[in-house]
Amino acid sequence: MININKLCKSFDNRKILENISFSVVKGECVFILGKSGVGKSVLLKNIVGLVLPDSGTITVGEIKVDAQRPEELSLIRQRCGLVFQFPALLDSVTVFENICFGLRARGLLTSQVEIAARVKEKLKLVGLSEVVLDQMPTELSFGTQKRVSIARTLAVEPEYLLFDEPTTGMDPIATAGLNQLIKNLTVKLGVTSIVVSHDIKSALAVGTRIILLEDGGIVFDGKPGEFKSSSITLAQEFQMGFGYHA
Amino acid sequence: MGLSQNENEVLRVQELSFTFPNASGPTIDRLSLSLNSSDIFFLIGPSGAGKTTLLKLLGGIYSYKAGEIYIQGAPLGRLSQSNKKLVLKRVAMTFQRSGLFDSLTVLENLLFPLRELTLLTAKERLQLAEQILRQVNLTGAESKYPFEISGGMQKRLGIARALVLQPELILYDDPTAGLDPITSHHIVDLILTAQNKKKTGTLIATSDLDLAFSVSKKTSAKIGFLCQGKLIQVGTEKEIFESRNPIIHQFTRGLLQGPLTPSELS
Repeated sequence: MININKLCKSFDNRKILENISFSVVKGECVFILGKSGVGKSVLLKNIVGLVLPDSGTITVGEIKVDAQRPEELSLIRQRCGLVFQFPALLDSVTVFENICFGLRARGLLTSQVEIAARVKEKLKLVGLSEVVLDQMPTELSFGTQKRVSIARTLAVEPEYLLFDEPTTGMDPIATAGLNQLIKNLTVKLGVTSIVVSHDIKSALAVGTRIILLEDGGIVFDGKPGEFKSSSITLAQEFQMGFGYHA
Repeated sequence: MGLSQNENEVLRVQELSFTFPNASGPTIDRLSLSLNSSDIFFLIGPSGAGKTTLLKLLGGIYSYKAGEIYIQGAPLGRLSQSNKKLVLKRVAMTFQRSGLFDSLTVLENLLFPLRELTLLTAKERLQLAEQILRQVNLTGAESKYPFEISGGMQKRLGIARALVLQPELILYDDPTAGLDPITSHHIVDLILTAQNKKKTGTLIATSDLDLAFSVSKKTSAKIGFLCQGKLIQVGTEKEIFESRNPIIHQFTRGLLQGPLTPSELS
């Protein structure tokens, strides 16, 4: 379980997150929605200790996120796989080396055969062919790079997956593929996911719960069905999009 | 040039092909396209189809050997370096990740192209930059650095930098990627206002189908579907949305089953 209790965070005297409290239990797939700049990414970064709260506490399982305890923080980061909004791949090494980087760095697997098998398994999960393994990240399109970064996160088999805008810049088929992947991971493997997103269609299709942030606080926390019929203006604006109807 | 040309035509692409070094096949494959100065054209298609590569070819970032790109009648591939540079001043591009200079402030990011590419005086450059900042609603953020402003503001600054040279053709690479639906609306309004004001040829590559279809429906902008480097269909939103081509159908409906599988898209 991830537990966030009375989390507050400001930057330059600007309050970003104010008194945020919620818990995510095993097997949930929570979508966190909100306008750009509302603090969604900051919230994710707090969970893995990349940003530290001004006040309030966060625990992942039994471990408290605490910068003073680097070994525990390292364990939290191993348990929580974070997928960044932009792929953040290492440009100077191949796709293969990118995917197995965490495995090697953490010494989780040492046998070359096992490492290669794990890399190929995760690559298949994100819907990429093995052709890309020897390529450099810069030779790939943005959407493909993004999927490589997801494979890299999956490689260390984290208990929790934290996605920052996973479908940004991805085409509709890749988006459908990723949604199905998140759903499979949640349903079949019991992975717990927190997904920061603007993509309302994905949230409604995949999420088991939606949290909507506005002005630093939680203005909605409930099931996708409840979100659809919510009277909150922002919830309605999110569902409107550009409103194309054929 | 032996090219029958209408004077409103700002862009013509003829049989353009482009292959990356060491790639097994072409990324752009005998692609043809034309755009008038008052046109908006949406480019959609799977990830890896060649959308960004095409924009970079049109913007002169990549060079090509096969086919030709005409900017207001001038063939980019056959011009001397100095003439090419002159012609490319009429083309502006915004990038997926904004492509701003991290070490320059908002205002300096706008002044840079003016200093490099125009003969304006310092005072004129400042006046023009401030006018454009007002247009994109960034007044007050002049002295901030890109990392100090939100993603939506960075996108607006990227657009401002493209507009500041008053180009004849603007290429937008996924201008709303990563933005919330409300901010996306503001960006689209900005693009359409800029287009309408000066009748700038506008080519928008986007992964947001809802955006492409709804704007196309409102403005009659054409949509081109790019797949494996080929424009496989160009039409109105209705023609694309109701296309019988199985690839386009699968894509516009976001279906996992169909001729395209995610692994083929790499």
